[in-house]
Amino acid sequence: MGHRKPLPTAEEVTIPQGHLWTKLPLVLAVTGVLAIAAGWFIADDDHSRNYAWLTGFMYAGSVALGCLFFVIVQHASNAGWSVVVRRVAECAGMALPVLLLLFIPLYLGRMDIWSHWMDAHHAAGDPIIEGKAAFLNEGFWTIRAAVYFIIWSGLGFFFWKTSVSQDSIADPEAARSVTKKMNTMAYPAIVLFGLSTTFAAFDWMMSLDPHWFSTMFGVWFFAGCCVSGFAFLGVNLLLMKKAGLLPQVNEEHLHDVGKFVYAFTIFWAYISFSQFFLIWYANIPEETTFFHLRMGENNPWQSIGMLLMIAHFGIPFLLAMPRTVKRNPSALLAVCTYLLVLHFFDLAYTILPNLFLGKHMVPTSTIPASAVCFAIGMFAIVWAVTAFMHTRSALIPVKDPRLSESMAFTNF
Amino acid sequence: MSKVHGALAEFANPAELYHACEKVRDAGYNDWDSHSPFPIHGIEKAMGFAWSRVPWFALVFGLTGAAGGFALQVWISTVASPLVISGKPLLSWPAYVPVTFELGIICTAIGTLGGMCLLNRLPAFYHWLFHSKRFESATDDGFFISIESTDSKWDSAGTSAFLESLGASHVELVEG
Repeated sequence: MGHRKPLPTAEEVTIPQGHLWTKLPLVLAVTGVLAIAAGWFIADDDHSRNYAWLTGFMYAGSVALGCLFFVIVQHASNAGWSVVVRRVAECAGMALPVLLLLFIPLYLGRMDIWSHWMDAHHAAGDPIIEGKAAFLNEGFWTIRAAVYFIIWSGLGFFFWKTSVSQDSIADPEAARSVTKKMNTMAYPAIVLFGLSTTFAAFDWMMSLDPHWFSTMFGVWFFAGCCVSGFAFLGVNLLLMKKAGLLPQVNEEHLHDVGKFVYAFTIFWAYISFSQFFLIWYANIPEETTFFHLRMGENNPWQSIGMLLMIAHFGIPFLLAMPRTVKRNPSALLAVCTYLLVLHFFDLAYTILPNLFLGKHMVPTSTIPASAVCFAIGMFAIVWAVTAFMHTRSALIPVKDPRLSESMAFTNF
Repeated sequence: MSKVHGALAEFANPAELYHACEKVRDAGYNDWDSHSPFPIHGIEKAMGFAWSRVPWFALVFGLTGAAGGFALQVWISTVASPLVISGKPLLSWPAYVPVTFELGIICTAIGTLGGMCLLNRLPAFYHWLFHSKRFESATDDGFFISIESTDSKWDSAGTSAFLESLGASHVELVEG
């Protein structure tokens, strides 16, 4: 209820010249390049550098993919509340094409990273790997990787470009048809997104140990994308508000973003625990190898696993439960930042132990250190692209027919 | 037989009801309610609702259920009926998670529903408003505010006049 607020014009919600946020892309890009360089030189050898790079790449990629999924879901559900926050997420989807550049070192190092099955010398005489050869072979793997990048870049570009083109349409009827077009595209996009992230998780992370498989692996990665992507959206919105931008985003919208982050944190716990639980309970050798590598009295990964359970689920579950936490900007910023940090441990726990699979390597502190540097660096690059895109258009899709609904939105 | 239970005021539409609620709230009444055939967005703000105490029921019941479910399984598998299953330790906590979760959920649900009924004094088979013939349209096309005579600010003539001053199309004192 209440009177309608006047709708903002594109000029009113564009970042003004010389604003702090216009300097952000450059600062982040420099930070990113420096952190990546640091990670590169910290690593002891090519093998651990490759794995650390993969960890950083999946980290940055999941953040951008989570934001893309946010945009798709809003269009698919024809959501009115999210119009004022959607552009910020659309811009993060434009970081997906840039990920292709960050994938180049992985492509060049593929024979080292995925050597267990990609290298014919390794695979020969292994009946399990030979049985999977129709899927796990270099040629098909390369084609699939190309398809993932085409899907992600295509969807990221489509939803950003179509939405931005709507900003300059004066005729309400024409603007409505643009919204309808994005709504229609969102349904196949959900299917494409689900399949591509699932198989990318299989190809790039699960196949690090080609003997092992988990049917929940794809949805585990999807859950991580959502937690980190939505948390990244929250961080952007909250920092923008602190910098005096986006006055249209109020505590009602923050509350809903917070609910999204909270719900997917629980979803992540549900999927991660289910994956562990079924493997642990059945105790079948070809499945338990995954946790055999990560659990045990003297295994350093044991404590990371416990950390994930308590710190990635228990603490945020209790802390972010109250309504007041999700409606308080500082508290929500803390929760989102915290989950972004914890998401790194989740990926590191999955990727890095494979370094020791069938290789006599001594665990060193330089491996996680370079993974942290790569993750920070590539995250900064994704954020730099996102922040750059924020300066290229209005921060709100001003001609979206649901804008007034979004601005008047209240939670019960 | 002719005790006055309260006053009932009818309004023409949700907007008038909404603004009338704001004024009743600001006048300091406590024992009153609004009635509409459908939910009106923001009416809880217009009525000045305090926070519900139901979440505390949910929290206490949920934690009790989860703790009880976990303790039950620990007791069964270590004390009451210790059995080694697939070579796992007797106290294998991961196996207890699903039941702990389910008992936590069902106790939360029972606590929430039960707490809501308790605080609302439900089920109620009788309410004084049912004496009003006009009130029947509250489930069809009528928008009402009712103020109970138990309210500390109650005064038969004064409250009726107050409700009329809010733009009510019809005000009656409900007796019965």
